Amino acid sequence: MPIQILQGTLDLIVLRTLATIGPQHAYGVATRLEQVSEDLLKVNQGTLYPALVRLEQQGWIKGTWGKTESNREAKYYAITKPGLKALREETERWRQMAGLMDKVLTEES
Amino acid sequence: MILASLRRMIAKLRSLSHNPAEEELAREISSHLVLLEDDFRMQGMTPEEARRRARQAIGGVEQTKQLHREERSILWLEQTRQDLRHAFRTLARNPGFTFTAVVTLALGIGVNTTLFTAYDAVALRPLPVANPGGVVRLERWFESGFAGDTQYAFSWPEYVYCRDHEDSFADLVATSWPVHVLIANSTGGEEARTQWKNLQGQMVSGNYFNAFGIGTALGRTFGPEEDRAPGANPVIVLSHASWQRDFQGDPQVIGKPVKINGTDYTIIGVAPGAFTGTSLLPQVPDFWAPASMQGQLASGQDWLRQPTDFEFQVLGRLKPGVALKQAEAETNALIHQFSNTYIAHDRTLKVTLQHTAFFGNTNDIRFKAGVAALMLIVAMVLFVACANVANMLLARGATRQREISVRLALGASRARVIRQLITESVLLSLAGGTVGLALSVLAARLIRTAVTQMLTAQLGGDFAFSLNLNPDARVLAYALILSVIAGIVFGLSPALQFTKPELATSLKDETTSFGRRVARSRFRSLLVIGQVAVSVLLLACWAF
Repeated sequence: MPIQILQGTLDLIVLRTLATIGPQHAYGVATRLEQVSEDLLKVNQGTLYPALVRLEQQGWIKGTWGKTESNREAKYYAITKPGLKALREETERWRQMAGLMDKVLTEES
Repeated sequence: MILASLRRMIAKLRSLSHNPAEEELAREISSHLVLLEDDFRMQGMTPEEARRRARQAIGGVEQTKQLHREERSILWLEQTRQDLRHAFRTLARNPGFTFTAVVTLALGIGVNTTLFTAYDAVALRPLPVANPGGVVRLERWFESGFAGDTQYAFSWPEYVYCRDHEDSFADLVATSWPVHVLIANSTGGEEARTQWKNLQGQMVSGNYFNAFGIGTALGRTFGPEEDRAPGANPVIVLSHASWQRDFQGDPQVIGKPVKINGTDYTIIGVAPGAFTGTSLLPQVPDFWAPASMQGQLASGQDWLRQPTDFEFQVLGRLKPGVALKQAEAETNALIHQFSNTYIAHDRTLKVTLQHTAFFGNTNDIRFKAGVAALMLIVAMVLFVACANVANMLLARGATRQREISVRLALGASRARVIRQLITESVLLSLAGGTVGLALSVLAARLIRTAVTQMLTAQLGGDFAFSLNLNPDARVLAYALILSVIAGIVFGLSPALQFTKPELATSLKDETTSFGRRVARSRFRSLLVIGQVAVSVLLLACWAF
């Protein structure tokens, strides 16, 4: 069954994806997410846009127009230097949070 | 993190003002759709099928755009902008209504702003001196409870005693009430006798101009030693108004001799136009002379030596870091010491220091009561104006109701629609406020002219009115706040009525509105009753 994206994690997912596969357009990011999650994570592709605009306004990614392999135009997003730094910090924060959640849930059961 | 959110804020604000972002977004989404369609076609779908599936995958083009917009910019500002645009269009479509409402509100707000302008000039504006915040006026409280201008009056010996013993003030100055004199060009001989002029001047301590940081337009002001030797300093400083009026703005006026009450004086300076004096009366003195010339200017009296001749106001500039209470305690003690020694009759119980405005002590209960009564009366005028406009809005309701019902039916929340209606009424009242402010500037000019003429008739001679009735920041803020409040006051009740939940049914069947019409007409007759009551009250006040 597809799982819902946890509130607030989409930004981190997008940053991580762009850091891994390099500059990519919104459709590319969405496709990649489906592949990685082996179709467990179903995103409505439109919901990526708020995350993209948020990240771009924060200066963590930057969009430029380019051509796809099939010679279609598309806006490619690339992670920036502040973006990489933010990715490291956010990853660290997520790990702590996840660890904490894990601990709490284990003790409760 | 802070840097990132700052960048984001700037980007959001920028996206409000101009919008290449919108075109960019449309381009990006259509390219996204093209890529999706390409892939779906490769999977063997027909072009139509691919198009449909692409739109599905993205989750609706308009929805996506809206998500993007909400994230991109500041929602409430964006909405306010939409509301304002809509309000402008609605008001422009009904010029008759708009005009009437604006004029009605302009009168209401104008009257209030005019009164506030006067209040501001009298009670809130500081004296026209440098750093007026630190300047205080001495006020005495008599054993007999006598109240009035005399509370600000001190004798010259009292002043000198305080000046020589105090430690709280950077400067302590004294200034007399205006004295009326006859002045003539002393070079004119017999012929000049026909040109005697009746002017009024103030005697001041030598440090007067320096203590207040007042420079000159021409020449020099008094030195601190010029108030010491009686009769030794026959010099005067002209006010700018008198220089223009009585000396035709003559640039050669410095050093000219004049005869005042039979004594020869020399004009040594002209005060700047902005300095309208520190008097309790709304009159610019024609000239200032050192207090040492008292014997010549007010002959037959001996103010400089009589400890009970209360003829001078005393003002002081607090030393930096000295608290008002501290200075007050010291002054109080000094005046006590002095009056215990020299003054037997009607002793001064205490001395307080007042922050200076034109009108001495504005904390005076009588002054406050008078102002409150006037404010209440003009507030009622505004209330009547608001009631009228609310009534007009209600009368227009029939046409608005359909529009509002449609919006509600399409899923706008009640709060959102109310907000839009309030935006409209605030816009209306801001327009009224702007016109009202212009009216009040005109009214203040009229008042100025009228008061000047009245006082000229009463005080005689040439009269320069010292009150500044031009609107300052306080008056502007007052008009603005009043307009916004008025807009909410008259807009809220109609907005609530229009958006009542059951009104949505008026879309289905307008004949069911019978019951509501009764209720509304009751509200309107309440408004009318209120107006009549207030109008009668105002008329009665006027008759007094």
